[in-house]
Amino acid sequence: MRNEIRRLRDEAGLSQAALAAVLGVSRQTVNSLETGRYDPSLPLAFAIARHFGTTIEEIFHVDD
Amino acid sequence: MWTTDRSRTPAVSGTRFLAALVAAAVAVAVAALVFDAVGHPDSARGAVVGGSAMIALLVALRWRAVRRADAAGPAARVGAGIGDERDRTIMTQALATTGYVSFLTLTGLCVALVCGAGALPSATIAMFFQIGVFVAAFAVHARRA
Repeated sequence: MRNEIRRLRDEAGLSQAALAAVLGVSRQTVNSLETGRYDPSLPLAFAIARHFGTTIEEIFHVDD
Repeated sequence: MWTTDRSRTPAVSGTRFLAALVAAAVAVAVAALVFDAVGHPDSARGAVVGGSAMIALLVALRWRAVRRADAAGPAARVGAGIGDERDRTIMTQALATTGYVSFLTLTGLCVALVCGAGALPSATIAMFFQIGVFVAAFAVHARRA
């Protein structure tokens, strides 16, 4: 699954560690999310969307 | 709806970790007493030394994971009881792989026993093989996730 987390984080001027602290996960988890190696749980996906003030659909895209 | 473990404050997590350490120490003591009662003092000493080493390792993992959370890996965070959802997913996958392989290990162990292999060395080899499988599975799943 592709996502826009890296772009949104860059636009917000956040480091991976800062975003991880906000989301309550490790920096490695944020890195894995950004590289598409790990798909978040639904609650974490909601938390990410809420943090960036957007929707899950705007952030996560299913690979076709 | 919130399954990510944010409700676990460090203090609560610390209490659980302390409880786990006490439970582990009690288990080690019981194992040592049982070994001693059935006439295996060397095994009792081994249980105490091995169990103490594992408890010390968990304390070291906890200390490192709390002090330098950013540098700690999934294994350290899970061992310290402060893993996030990805860490727990890795742990679950590693345990699932280990459980799956255990069927094959058990089959191999049965074949070895039928062929006349010693029970104790066979069981020991199977146990260490399973530990190796778990470590390898954890590393592979951590790399993939």
